[in-house]
Amino acid sequence: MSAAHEPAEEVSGPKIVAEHTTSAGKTVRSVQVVRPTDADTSFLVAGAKGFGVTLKHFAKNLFLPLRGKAARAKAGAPGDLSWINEIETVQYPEEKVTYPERFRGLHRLTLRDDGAVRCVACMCCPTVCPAHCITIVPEESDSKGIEKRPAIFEIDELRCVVCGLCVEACPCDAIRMDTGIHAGPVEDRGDAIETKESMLNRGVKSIAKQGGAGPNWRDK
Amino acid sequence: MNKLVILLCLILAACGGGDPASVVPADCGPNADKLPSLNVGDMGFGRSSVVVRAGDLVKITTGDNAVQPGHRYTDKTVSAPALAVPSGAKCFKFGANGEYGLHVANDDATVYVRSSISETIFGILDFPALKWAFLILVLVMPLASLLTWAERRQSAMMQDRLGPNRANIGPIKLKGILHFVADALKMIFKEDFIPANVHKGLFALAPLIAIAPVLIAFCIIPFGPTVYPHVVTQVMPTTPDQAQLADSIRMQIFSSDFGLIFYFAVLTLANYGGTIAGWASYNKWALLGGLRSSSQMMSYEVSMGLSLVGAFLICGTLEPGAIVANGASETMSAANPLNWLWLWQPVGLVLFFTAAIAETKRAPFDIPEGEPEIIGYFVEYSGMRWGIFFLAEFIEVVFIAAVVTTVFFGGWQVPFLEADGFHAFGGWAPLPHGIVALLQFSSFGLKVVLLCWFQLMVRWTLPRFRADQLMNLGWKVLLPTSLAWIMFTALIKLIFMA
Repeated sequence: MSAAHEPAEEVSGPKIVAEHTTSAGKTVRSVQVVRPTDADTSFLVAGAKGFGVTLKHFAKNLFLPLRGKAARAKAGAPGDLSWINEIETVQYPEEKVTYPERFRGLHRLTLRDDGAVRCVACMCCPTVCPAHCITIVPEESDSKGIEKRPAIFEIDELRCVVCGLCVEACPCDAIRMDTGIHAGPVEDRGDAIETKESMLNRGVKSIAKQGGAGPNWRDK
Repeated sequence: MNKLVILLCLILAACGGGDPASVVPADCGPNADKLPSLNVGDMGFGRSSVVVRAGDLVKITTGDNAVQPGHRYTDKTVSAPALAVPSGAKCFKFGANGEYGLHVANDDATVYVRSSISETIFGILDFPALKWAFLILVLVMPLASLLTWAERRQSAMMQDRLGPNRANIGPIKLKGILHFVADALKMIFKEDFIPANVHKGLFALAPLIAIAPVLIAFCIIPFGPTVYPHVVTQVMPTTPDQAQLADSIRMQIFSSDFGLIFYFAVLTLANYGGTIAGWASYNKWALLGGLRSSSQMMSYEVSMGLSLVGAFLICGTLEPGAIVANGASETMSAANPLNWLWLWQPVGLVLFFTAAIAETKRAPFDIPEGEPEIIGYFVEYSGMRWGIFFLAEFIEVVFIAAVVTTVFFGGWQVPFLEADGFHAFGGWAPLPHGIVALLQFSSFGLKVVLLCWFQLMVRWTLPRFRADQLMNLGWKVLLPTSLAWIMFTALIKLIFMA
């Protein structure tokens, strides 16, 4: 009877009591099956225990005032969680969780030192894009030593699957997803298309070397 | 607006001005059993007429005991030759059998008696339809609507979440209580979609069948003490005189000797709502839900009725008002919590509460709904039609709480609060009748709210039963236990209380 309360016994399955081989060469095992006791299967006992659990959580969450992670951070000594409630809900617009460092947000196009777009319209990102959401129309660049630049660079954020392959494919650090902004709500499908201008507005200057001169920018 | 007024007038005319259909011929003999009798209908609401002569006593018979001394009866229409009953004549008691009558003072006349309509404001307040409207619109509907919010909020609290807390009118948030308003608005303005091939008449009727019986069943619940308006500012004397008790407002709409049987009978009808909805929907899953609903009700009605028989044996009455007013034992005050039936009928309480939760069709007995498998009998309903099923469920929760409060937890009684104030530990703290009534009224509300809370706790703690486990529990556990408990109670009553 007491065996039923030993967790180790329960997980080990049927216990082999005896094992012998018959004349036909077959192995016969006698096993002891651990069955739950009446107290384990009784709905009343289990129900009463359940009531204890739910009542404890309900009372604690109802009567202890502090809510949310921000309030929890203010609660005082870290680790002293005995007097605040257990509600895990983050009240989103007012409270925000910190995104991880490599969170892939809205795209941005980076700039060169002179403020021109860094993209050379090599077509690597529309080629690798699994969702076919990038549209690039190249034009001739007047900068010295740079052949092309994008006349149109559009990303349909409704089609984008936020995989980040465009960033990986880019040979010159022209497109990044490190803005930390997630795609906002739109009322029209067309409004979800990011244009070259909107992505350049979020742009930063990249320090990577361009045009194959110098060490690989990824090594920095 | 004009049309509404005309409609209202028509309804009033239909209620009040109709041709009296049943004129009982007068027999003016001196014998009391041959007195001209007026049957003013059940529930103290009705009218009738009789031809009488001067000096006659008119016997008033009703379907229940709503006719009481002190109630006023008016002769709204009296034909020629003369006014027979003075306007607002008081009904008085006569005869050994507790019959009530009017004294007719003048010449021969046809007397039309309409009961419970009085020219005084207290008589109007005591009008059953008004009390019912008050109970349903002021107490039950708001509580049931709030429960739709409370259920989500409470379950969230039990599961370390916050739940709905954002609905607001400008800066007024009230912890999200306004969500029930938002829900109601959403359901009212949703498309009222009726699928092809449904039986349109029954499809429309089913939600009404589901909700109407529950609202009717509330008639038997005594939701407060009888209020005597003339003594509200005074401490109730031990032997009040007739003037003080002249008017009374009874906080129970329908008090009859078969009170709780009435509830069993009426609430069973609500089940037809689910079954008919399932059948009329022309959907196999809805039909399965309806059938499950029928089988579940059939199984649990039996134990639900039998589990209260012990209480009936102890109290000797089926009238909820009498159970509350008298308590279990005559030797103790009814305001003593030890005299409430929870102590005398603990097994009956558990059995009744279990069967009653099954009656509300909520988890752990939500087989008819069966969210993981069949969605239930209302799968084809949308908008407010579905909302009525939803609301009916919560009204049943309130009703079950009210019945358990009334039968097992002393109804409107406040511990140790008698009619004239608190009596405890040999002391007496006198309170005016108005305050006492208010405390008792609040006490009933508080007990109902607590029991609603407990039902939500049950719903969010216990996992749901399988259909076969449900039937096992109903027929093999609850039914034999309730039968054994009746025998045990009868034996105790026979030995100790006979």
